[in-house]
Amino acid sequence: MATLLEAGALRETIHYERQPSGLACYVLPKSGFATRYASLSTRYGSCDQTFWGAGGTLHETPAGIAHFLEHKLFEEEDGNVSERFSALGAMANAFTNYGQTSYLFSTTDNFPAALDLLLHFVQRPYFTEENVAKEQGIIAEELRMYLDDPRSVVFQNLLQGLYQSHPVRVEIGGTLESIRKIGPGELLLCHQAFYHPGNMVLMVAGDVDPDAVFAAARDAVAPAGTAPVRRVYPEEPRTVAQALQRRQMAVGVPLVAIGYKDDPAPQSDALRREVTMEILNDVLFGPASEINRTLYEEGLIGQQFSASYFSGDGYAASVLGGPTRDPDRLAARVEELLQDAVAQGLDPASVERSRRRSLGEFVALFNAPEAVAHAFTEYALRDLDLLAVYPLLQGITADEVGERLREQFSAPRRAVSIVEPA
Amino acid sequence: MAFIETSLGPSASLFLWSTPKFKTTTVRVLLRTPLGPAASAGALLPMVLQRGTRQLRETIELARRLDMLYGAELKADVLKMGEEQVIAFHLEVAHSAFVPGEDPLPEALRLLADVLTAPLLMQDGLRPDWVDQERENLRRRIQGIYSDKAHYAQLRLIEEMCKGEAYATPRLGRLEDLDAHTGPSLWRRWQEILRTAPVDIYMVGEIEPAVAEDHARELLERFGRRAAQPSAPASPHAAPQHPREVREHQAISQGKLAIGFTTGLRASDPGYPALAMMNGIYGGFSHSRLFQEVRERHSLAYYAQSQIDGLKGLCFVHLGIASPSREAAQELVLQQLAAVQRGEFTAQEMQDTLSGIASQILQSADAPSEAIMTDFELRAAGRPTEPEERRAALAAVSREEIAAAAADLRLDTIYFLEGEGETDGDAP
Repeated sequence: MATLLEAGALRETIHYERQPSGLACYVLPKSGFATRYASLSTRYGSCDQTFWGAGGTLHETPAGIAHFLEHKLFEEEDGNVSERFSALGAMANAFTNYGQTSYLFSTTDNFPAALDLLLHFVQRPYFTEENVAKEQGIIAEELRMYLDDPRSVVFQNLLQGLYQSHPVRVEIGGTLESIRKIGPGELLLCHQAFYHPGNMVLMVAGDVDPDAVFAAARDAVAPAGTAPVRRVYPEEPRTVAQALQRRQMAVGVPLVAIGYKDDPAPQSDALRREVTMEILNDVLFGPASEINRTLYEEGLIGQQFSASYFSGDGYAASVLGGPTRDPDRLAARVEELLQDAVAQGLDPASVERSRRRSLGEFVALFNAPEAVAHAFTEYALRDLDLLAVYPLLQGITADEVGERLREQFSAPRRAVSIVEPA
Repeated sequence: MAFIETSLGPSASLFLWSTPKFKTTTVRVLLRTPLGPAASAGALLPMVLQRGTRQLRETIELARRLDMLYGAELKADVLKMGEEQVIAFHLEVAHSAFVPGEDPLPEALRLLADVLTAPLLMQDGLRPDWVDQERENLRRRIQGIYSDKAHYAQLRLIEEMCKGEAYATPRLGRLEDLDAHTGPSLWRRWQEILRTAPVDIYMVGEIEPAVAEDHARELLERFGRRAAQPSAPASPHAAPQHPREVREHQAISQGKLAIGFTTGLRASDPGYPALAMMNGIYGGFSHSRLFQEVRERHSLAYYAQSQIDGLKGLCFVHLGIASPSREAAQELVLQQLAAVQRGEFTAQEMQDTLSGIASQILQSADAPSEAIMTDFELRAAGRPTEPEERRAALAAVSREEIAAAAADLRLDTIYFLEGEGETDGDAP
């Protein structure tokens, strides 16, 4: 039986069905849009390296295996599945992050056939020694590309500074060394452990009939009785691992990333935390903030300076930064100005401005069905409802935002990562 | 999408797509200027103009006003289109049905008009401390291109390939021209642009045509328009007799190979659809030859793609490869082109390319900004804007025409940014 999730005045509805297979299916109907979008995602990301499998065995797998598996599922016995999407006029893609792997396509034509292909190929592993070895070359080039990308390096180093043992400190794609330890056996083990329908979410957005989507998913995905996987995350101390990371690279302008470690919110409070922190980061560091004005006029930041909340299973932090002429000075000034802000408390007018800005941005998100699908899936995999953000944003108060300011920033646990010209 | 054009004077038009499809109203003002020595002034102007107005004399006041309008987005930047630099102002506001209180659009449009035409002036020019700060910000943006290796390789390829031509000027201009700009010189330049540059005003959203036209006319009146300078097509570029090779070295993990060809065809030529189909078969998609051969079959690259600049008549190929693979990768790139030139591709490849491009055509109407830029670029290229007409022109292209379009490609310049990918060491 389908359930309707609504967001009142936004005039958007998401149809939901939990299927007999355990698969959670969501459909956002959007008439008038030519593009139809679908993604099939699993709660399995780079952080899920260590887990208890069937039969009570503890598995420790190489870094980057979730991402490797994502690449490899596109390979089938009779060729690469993205060519079959192309033949249907659909563009297929996939991505892996810290807590999820998603397979997706968009198309203006042949949607039912492309959906059927998506539902089937993700369940159909085909790994050989030869095709795994071939993929190592491609993934090595992908990793090298990120090794040369200063934004990626500055963020990766920041996570290593912030976290002592949580696997979020490990690169999503692994390392040139760790991917060499991955073979067909390891890939199959992880596929069996994490690609269980009960661990997965199907999301469709566009001009489609929700019932037809639910029926297609019921036909394509069989009920499976695999026991749920238990992930092992080592306990993460509250303190940071290393306060300062510095790296020389072939860059034109230095970059800095500053992280303020936070205690992860309990599940019951996770959505409110996300919303509150988005507002707080904007109040403190957004274009209309005093801190932004001061740093801008001191010539330490430009328009590319940004702040966001980075959180998932067992980790949470405010992360800010961008290119700057003087990364050390910028990090020091941010800390000084932040402590002034903690001492002064928040101006309720600034919270109201940021609340309005967030509300407007949330409305604008619904211009893009694919972006909604993406955000909705990320939340659904964390058992959060994206549509509930809209009513939450209308009721958030300056007091609760101010409380978070004190909780997170009065005794900061801070790490700084700098990339500078060699 | 169906933009309705209303002429607002010489070289000035409103393009309106009135639709309830989106939850925001989007407005874009696009001013076209010749690309050349003044490019850094063109890049600097929108940065300074966004800092404030005669009424909102501090940047923070403008930012706060926009936030109160439910995060109305007002931003400006430049883009390169053929041998023109386009200065683009963008406004996007939530539709009043989805936010409480008064409709934020009229005030947001007033702010856009003020940013464009009522900047804060001091000493006969734009506010000098803002000019100084933004000059430094622009300097860092230009220097920052060096950090993005794929972007840097493309920029260097074009610099080498089109040396001495306006096309070689980067989108943001050159560092050495930056210091010449002052508050008064920028203000004079901006007034000249407002008065004479060809200007298109695009609007997308649930807005009445009469209301949109009133807003556009009101805005344009404040520009003080005079006779407009017509925009000129990009100068032709001919490939040298012997292709040139340029090689540079940096301490990076992955080499970047960037190859430039001349196509002998412009976007306005009747044969252009054949070139577009050829690019799709050769390197525009993941089913294309470059991706399939260089990445999938030989594992030499993470990305391998081609693209066409129809205004200048050039084709570019980009690969990210391990440095020792350069020769093998380059050979594959040229071999695959030769195969397309001989007509060695399947009906399936033609079909996949056609449906891929047809899909892109339809998808561009699903996002306001993309719809605007697609329409703007097609008009600038003198190409039809109707989706069905565009699709039909591609569907009519024959195998022989695709092979002939490929045969007209001339190898011009090979640029290689060499890295240190030989060592397979662990990530540091």
